[in-house]
Amino acid sequence: MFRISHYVNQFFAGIGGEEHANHPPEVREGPVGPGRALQAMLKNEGRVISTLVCGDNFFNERVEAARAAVQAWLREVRPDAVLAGPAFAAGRYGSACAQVCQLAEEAGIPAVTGLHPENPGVLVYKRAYVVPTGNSATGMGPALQAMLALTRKRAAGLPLGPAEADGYLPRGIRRPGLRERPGAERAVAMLVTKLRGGPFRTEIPVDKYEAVPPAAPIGEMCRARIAVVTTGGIVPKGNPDRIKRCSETRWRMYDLTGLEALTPDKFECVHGGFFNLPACQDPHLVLPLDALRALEREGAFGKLMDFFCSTVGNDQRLADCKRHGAEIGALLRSHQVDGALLVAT
Amino acid sequence: MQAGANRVIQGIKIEHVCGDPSLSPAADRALRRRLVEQAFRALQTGVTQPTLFQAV
Repeated sequence: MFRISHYVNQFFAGIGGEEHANHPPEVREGPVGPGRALQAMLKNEGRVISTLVCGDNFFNERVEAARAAVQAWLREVRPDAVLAGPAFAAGRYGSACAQVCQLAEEAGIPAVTGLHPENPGVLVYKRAYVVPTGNSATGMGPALQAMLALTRKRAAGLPLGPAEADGYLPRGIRRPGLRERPGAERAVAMLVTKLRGGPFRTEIPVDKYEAVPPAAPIGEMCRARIAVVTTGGIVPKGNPDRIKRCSETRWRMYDLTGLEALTPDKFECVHGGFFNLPACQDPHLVLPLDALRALEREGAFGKLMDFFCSTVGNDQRLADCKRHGAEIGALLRSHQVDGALLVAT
Repeated sequence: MQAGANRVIQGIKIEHVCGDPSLSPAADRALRRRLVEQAFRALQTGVTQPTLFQAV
């Protein structure tokens, strides 16, 4: 009989909404929330023996403690498989689910989650087995069914087919194989089809920029909460977080509380993709704090957030850029920011 | 714009996006202020696709 562990957030555990997003990790026996539907689908095939509940803010803000709790839970319970979520489009929840899957796989336990394909959690752990879902919990039933189907195959050690065939999101893995016709013939056939305006399917999807629907304009600027973000590598003098001049994979938050200006004794520019001496001598050339404070004092907008987010965009991988954007967006949303200025170089 | 950013203000130069160190400090600050004001105008403007708001 199949022993399953389930990870859910504070909302799906029935504890509450955002006000309970700091709920610390809590192990509960048996199924909780959607785990009950999962149990019903399993019938006598298996049991949801344990559920880990954790608040979305706790998981994202106290990552080390949350991950340690997941690891302890997995060691304690030793399930045959782990299901996380589904989280649908919820970004913090999706990120937590992806990490639960990662920790389970590291412990040798097959794990499956369910996320909307644009959930930023998809970018957190590329090798996760993610069943694509819609963007709301109205799709809970089908999502759980699909997650269970995939889990059965994985737990049985059955080899999985390609992502499309077996109903999970591509994991970035290619397997060598043979096709009926040589590449030259396939390429020409594809080109002819394309020239004729017929449908064709690329064999290698190229990572490309996506169109993001524009956010609605700000209605009342005088009350707007504004944040400033930069990929221009403005950091505290001495670069305490060792932000790299190139190929950086992280971003950091720095404090602006009480600061009217960025002076060269307190801040510097570490971007390695352009001549950064002017920006080191006057950081305002990349992060216009002086102008923002003047406009804030005059009431041109409501409030400037007392932090800024910074990274170096030089040679930053597209996947990291997307993830940083999603993470920073989630942070700004949690601070009820209405608009952001992103200064890029 | 190619990267899909929807509201783009054209900055001055890569090395000094938000100003011009060759100007007097007062003129540089005035330029910077106009750029930020332009950005605020963009935040209040409805757009349907990547849109460039010219440098001031």
